[in-house]
Amino acid sequence: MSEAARDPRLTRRRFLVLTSLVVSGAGLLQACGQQAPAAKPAESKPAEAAKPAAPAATTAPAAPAAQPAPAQKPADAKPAAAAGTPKRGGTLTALVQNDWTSLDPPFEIGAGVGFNMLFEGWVRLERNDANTAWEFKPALLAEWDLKPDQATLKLQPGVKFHDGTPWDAKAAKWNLDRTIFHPQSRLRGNLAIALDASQEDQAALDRLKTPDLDTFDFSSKAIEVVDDLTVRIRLSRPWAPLISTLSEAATYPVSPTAFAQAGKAAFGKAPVGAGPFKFVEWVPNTRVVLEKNPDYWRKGADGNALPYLDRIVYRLVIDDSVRLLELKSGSAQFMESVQGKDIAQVRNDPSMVFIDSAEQGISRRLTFDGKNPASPFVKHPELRKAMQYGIDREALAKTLGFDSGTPDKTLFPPGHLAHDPNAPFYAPDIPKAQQIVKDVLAKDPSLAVNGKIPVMLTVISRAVDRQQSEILKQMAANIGFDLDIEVLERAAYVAKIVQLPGKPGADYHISTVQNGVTLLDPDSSLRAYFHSAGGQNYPHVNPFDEIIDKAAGTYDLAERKKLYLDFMKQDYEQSLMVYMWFQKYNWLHSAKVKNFVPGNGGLWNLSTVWME
Amino acid sequence: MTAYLGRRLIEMVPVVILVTAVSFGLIFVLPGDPAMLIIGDRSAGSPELYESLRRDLGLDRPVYLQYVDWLGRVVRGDFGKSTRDREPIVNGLKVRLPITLELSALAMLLSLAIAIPAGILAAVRPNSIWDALGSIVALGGIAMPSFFLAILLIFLLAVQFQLLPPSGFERFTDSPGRNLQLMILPAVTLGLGLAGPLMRQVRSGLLEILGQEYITTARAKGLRPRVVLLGHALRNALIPIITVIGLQVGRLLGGTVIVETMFGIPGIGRWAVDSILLRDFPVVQAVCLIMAIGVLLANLLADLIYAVVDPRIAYR
Amino acid sequence: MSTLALEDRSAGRVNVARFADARAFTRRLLRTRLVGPSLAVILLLSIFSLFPRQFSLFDPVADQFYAKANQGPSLEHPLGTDYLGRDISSRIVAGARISMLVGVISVGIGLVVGVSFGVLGGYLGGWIDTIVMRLADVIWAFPSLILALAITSALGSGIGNAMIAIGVLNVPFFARLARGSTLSARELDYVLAARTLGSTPLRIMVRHLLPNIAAPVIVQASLAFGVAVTTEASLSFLGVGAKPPTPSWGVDLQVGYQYLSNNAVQALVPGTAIVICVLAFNFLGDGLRTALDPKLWQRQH
Repeated sequence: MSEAARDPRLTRRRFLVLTSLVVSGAGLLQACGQQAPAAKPAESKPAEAAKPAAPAATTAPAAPAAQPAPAQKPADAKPAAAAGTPKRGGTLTALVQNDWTSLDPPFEIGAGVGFNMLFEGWVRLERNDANTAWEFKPALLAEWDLKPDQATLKLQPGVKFHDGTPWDAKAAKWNLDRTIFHPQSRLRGNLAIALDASQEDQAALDRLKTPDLDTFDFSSKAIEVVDDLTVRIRLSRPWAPLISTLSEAATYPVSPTAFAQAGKAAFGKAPVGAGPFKFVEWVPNTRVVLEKNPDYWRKGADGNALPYLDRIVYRLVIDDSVRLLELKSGSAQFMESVQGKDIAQVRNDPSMVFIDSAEQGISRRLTFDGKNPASPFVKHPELRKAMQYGIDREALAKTLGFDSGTPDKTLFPPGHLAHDPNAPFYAPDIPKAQQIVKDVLAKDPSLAVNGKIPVMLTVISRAVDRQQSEILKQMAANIGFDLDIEVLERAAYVAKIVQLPGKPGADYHISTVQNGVTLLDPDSSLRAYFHSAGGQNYPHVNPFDEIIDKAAGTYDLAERKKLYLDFMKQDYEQSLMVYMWFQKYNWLHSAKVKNFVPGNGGLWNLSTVWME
Repeated sequence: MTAYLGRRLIEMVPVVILVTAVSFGLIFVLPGDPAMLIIGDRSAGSPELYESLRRDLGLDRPVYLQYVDWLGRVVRGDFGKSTRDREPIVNGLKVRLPITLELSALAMLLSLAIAIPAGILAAVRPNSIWDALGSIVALGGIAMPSFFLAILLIFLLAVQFQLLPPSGFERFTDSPGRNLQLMILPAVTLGLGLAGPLMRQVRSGLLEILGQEYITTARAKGLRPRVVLLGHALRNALIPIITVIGLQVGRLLGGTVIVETMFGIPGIGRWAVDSILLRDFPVVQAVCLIMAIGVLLANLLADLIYAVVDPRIAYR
Repeated sequence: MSTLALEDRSAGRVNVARFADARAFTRRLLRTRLVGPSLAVILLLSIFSLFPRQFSLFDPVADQFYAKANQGPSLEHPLGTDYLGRDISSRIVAGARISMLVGVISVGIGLVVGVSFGVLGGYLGGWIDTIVMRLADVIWAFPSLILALAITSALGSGIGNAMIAIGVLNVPFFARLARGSTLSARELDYVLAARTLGSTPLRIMVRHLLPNIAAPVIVQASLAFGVAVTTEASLSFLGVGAKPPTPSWGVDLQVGYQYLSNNAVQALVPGTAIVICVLAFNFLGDGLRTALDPKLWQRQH
């Protein structure tokens, strides 16, 4: 080795150069750090923050929430009494976990998260004033009257879309036509069923051959304009879920004039609604920005028009851990779906407010393919009950859900219209489960391989489902099943498990699914998951069509509850779904955000929220 | 020389066409289709909806026809429309490609800033403690899966010490300062992942050269060690370093996939992954094509520099 | 010649493996930085892979103790427990087998396929050479993770398919290496002599050409091993890696990083394991290259 390399001067100089580079680099980083915009909490006032009225778990709804409301006067927006005085101005950054595909409500995949403030719905599903139950409050609809053969909708007067188009019966009819009859509208199946002239209208649609999906100039016969502020829908039968469906994001009215001008593709990128905020920009994959609508029709506590905020920035952050980090670091102020394991620490954090709901959440279920002749659960349906008895729901809930998980029992948790404490459910009973399996093997020994029944568990490539599968494998081994786990990414999974009408899914044995539980009319979830016309029929069989249609076809609440109890009993017997555990919906926001009250599902009402 | 260049470019063409054929072939081998994904999850669908979507997305035509059509259009610069949002893909490329290029360039600069000093140090003091430490730091970047490195950096720098924002993206045209600030963590994550092979190349290249006769001659002539090092050795070692940089482009583009996902940067890498998972085939095909061309051109450039500068290379 | 990749150039130096002088070789090898510790690590991992049960305190898959989940190191569980209450140290031992398997098989696939094609193409030349190099270029041109993702999406997730995907990614490296070396070696005197004497191409390739490429291929294999381990972890992150309940380091890291704020050990341990394993193979590879490449010997004393 030459002297040069051993030369101490050389080495020292090199070392000094390196060190100075590192030091100056660190200095640069610091300088950058200090210029970080003050999304960090500056001086926060002591937590005299008024806690928003958190929806507590109620045992039974006080008033029937889904009844057709008697003719109501439009209520003024009332201030939450305990919240303090609203301050105007400011920009709220809210984090969204799923990317947007379109901002046009009927064509958007998501549940309205991250753009609902652009729009005003027909009705709003919220807690009533006494905070005892959920009810449908007027929004763009002022009153409604449901009869067996028609529904009369009276519109809210004095409302305009962001582009100045008035909200009137013509606009209402156009929106209903689009939501119900456009071939690509998401809720098409739900509403078209009950319309009288759907036969006429469907025939007319068919005759159109290739309806121009871009402008969709179609006027139905079933929906009529009565006068300037009244629209009538002719029904072929009583349809109890009608108002509930009109509270969903997919039905949000948009401005017909703006749509006609822009066409479907362009409108979906820059929509015009009637909501408290107007559209500013949508950077795909990144964010949606809204600013306040100065002509919004609702008024705040100070007598001036809502909303209090100046701007909302919805940012897309897909990674769960990173979302929480964003809130902690102060670069965002609002998010939902805090993971169970993080709840304990955010509850103790005085700079944040954590809210959860025992009535809304995600129900994690195990489904059986009810049609696959190769599945042991079809060959011997009693094996399904073995799984029902053999799964330790408590362990699943606590291990994966931590504070936000509870064992699930039936389809409808307390607080729901169709909840019934008399509904039968399965309690864990390992010896019974093991006995069932032994009995079946005695009848049919060829089923077993090495003493256990081989079963394929197909799960989607999602963290929770993978973790669940590891637990389920052990639990199933305990009672006599040998689970082989198959992980599919979403596209492959949907092709296999989900049975779309007219498009049968492939065969599987069992799978785990997550279904949202919200306060909508019970028909919406039953129709989606258990009905042959639904879009998420996992068991691939439909023994429940009749009872579901019957329960939707009457306005008599007592009758409906009886029918839903019947459904739950049949469900218990058929045992096509195991209700494993329930993960409560939650929301987390900075302590500087005031007066947030959770609504239904992912529709955050930020119009009555202000920032300190 | 020009003949060589021309020949190489022509040789690229069949490769590029094969790449497009493979990415088109994905339609056959990947289960599931985009229409199903769009409606299959959260809506009460209907058969008409599914069929209507399929027609709308052009999924009902045989794939061979689609391929030939596509080739014809691509040659004219039309990459078609994304099945997810019906946007012309060219618009998406115009927006996302510069973002990934910016990220890649920053990452490359950072990795050079780490690799060159570490490599020099290691070569000058081989097998010493400096060599070991420098190697661990540089190679640690490729040893650690990038998503782990990303979350550690976010955790340390954004949450614990609140030096930088955790994630997000701001367009350079909107706010250059904020854009660069948000690019620091992703560029560091990506750059650390590249520094290893570069450092190794600097080290071994320098070692090789420093042992050669002309270096000994230079020292015998009495030139100061620093001049010897920087003036002669490093300059000669730079050539293979440039080559290695060119060869790293494939790894660089692959690395953007995870980094862009973690930090929420809407670049090409993330677009590619999202499109594969969502079966947005037109985008997959377009992005594969662009990336392949990028890698091939970078390789070609590296080879050219090498061949030009080192006349000892005989190329046929 | 299509690409003058650096690997080609270094392979172009005829490297008749210097294994003959074993003592000198070993001395050169061990003098290179950190080779000693790396060999020790690799030996340890190999032992874990061959005898996992002997080194595990608990069953890494079945012993789930939910009540003890997410705990830090203790007497009973020296590295703590994961989110299902499983013993982390046992999972690390079991994961060693998976990682070594992934490395061996995926590098093996790349090596066997790549070297075969490379030697064939380099020796026979002509259109065979063109086809081989074009195919290698096609794989090379796809950004690695995207190609791996496409392959595993097509074949289905799981360790086996991940190994195939990573193996495919490795083919171009070995093909180029083998081809470059073959191109230089085939003009050598003794190879020409063998040809004149009537040896079949196959015999020539196996007896004369393969030994030449042994050195750079071994070096490349060592480095590719490390890349395979991290690629498996990245595939697990994207959701197409090892499927449950395989105790792979990549999966453990991916799950553990979600629990970083609860119990950091859960992520740090598999992460460190991956880093150490990959570094070991990298340093070994560097040492092998130094020991086998005559040009680099002069720096050693």
